[in-house]
Amino acid sequence: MLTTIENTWQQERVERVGKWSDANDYENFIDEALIEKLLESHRHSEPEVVKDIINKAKDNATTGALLDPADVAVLTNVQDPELWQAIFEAANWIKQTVYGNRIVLFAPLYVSSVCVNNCAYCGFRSSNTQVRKRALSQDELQREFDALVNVGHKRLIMVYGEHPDSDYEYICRTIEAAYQVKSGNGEIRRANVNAAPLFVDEYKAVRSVGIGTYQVFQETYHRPTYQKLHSKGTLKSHFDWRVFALHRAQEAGIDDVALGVLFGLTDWRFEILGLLYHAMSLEKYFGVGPHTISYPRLEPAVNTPLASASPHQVSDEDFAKIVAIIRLMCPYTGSILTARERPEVRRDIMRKGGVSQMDAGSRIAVGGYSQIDHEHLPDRQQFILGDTRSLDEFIHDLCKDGYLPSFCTAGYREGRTGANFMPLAKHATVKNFCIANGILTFQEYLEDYASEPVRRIGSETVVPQYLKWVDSHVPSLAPKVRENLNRMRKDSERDLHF
Amino acid sequence: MISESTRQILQRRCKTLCQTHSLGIAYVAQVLGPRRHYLAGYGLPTAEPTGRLSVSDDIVLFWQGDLTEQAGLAFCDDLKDTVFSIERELAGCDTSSRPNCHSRGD
Repeated sequence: MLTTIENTWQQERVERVGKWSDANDYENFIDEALIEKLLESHRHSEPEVVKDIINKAKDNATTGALLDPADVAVLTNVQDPELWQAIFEAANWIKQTVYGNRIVLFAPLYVSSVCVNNCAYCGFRSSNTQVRKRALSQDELQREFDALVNVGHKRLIMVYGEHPDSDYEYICRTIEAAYQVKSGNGEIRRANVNAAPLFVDEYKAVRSVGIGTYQVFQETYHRPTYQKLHSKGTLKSHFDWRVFALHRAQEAGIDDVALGVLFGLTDWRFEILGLLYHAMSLEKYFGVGPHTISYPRLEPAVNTPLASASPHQVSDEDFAKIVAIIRLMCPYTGSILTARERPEVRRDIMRKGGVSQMDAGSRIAVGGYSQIDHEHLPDRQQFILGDTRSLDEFIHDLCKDGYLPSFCTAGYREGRTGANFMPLAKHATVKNFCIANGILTFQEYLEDYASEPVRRIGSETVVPQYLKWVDSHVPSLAPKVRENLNRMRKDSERDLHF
Repeated sequence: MISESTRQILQRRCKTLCQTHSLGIAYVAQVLGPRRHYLAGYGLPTAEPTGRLSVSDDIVLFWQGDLTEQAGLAFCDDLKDTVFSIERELAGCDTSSRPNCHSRGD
């Protein structure tokens, strides 16, 4: 049951949403009948057609073009294991071509779990009395920041429930607090936001504190499913309000926006096309597509039967297909694989799907980092986490597999945002920055936070390996990278970046 | 957000700067906390060290290539009138909804 304050706040916003809806003139980009027809009409394609699409996707890696919806419909219907192998190889190739072999690391920080919505799949829904929900105070938040920066994190995704206690002003205050953190050499250099859709004036306020990316997950692009899962009368029940959330963010000048679907609510094939049409609409109106795409899978949550019993649960095998198709259809976008997934699944998907960003050392209970020894606090979590390795353990595993762990946050601090970032990603030159800055930020980690095994493999194998890459691919930059490494090692300088 | 006309002015100025000094890119960004938010510019970025100069408290000029400090400062000086209008436009954009910020009409 909502309190009077919560009810009043929600009702006022619902009325405002209604006014926005009456004035909204963005063109609807989700046509259920068209998507279903596309999927049906491309149910069986010749192998040559699939191979042509794979080649087209690889060509797109250096032009930034999206695949056509019909192409994506074909890929979602592939049955032949050999063709899937070719798709996985292409996904990995595209990722290597655009971003190089680095994985950007971040931590999710659940700042508030209070929420006026009542989404059937969510442990934080208002009617779920078995999960304790709250918004962190500034002191509690500080303890979370300290715990995060003291293990080496530099980049956060700050997660907020939709509630009067965590409105846009609370979001602004907590992000400003993140940027003030200083603990030894530790600091938060980039705070991304995962929060509810806002009004344009509210987005402008959030923009003003210097966020990284604004993330709104649609959950599902399938309207009938969306209406079924989101209680009528709640803010979240308004499909159009959510589906155009990032259009409004762009209107407000937030030009790094991020898409996502909660896979498992309806047919995953439909959702992939929904993501594609969303990216196409953003490009059409603003000339800037999604900065990242996330693909969380429905996970079990306390007292949330749907989360374990959805008829559309995605198998590990299909999950790999989803991630790979997203990489092929939108080559320039960052691809985020989260710790919802088990370690063995993550390791497999990284190779098959062309993943570029991952969280590590994650805790998803509100206040969870202050109790880092507790892997799970189920009565305070939205769902159950699959990968509870520490940041250092995760990095060690990345190093063993030959990846470059990166804490890079340079792009958005060097003005490479929105329309200035897109050409780099679309023409596959961003990797030159990514690898150079990845080396420097990994060296910071080795100097300040790494365990002995990580320090050894990092300094003896990983850093030399990627310095060689810079030598051969960006020789003009190589002397400067080495100079910066020396300044970090000998003079203890930090935050040297390109 | 800046108006299209202001964006075009900035783009033209950056183009001239690039052509005069053989720069690969020059662009202007807004200071938002740690974020340097791209407003407008000319050229394509490459993975080379980037130079920067504060045009005002809220606006930064970035470039890649050899630009003397004197030439950079001269550019910033030339940009003063434009910067004034940018700051007015941005003040309307970024602070009008936050009660604890200075904004037009405060």
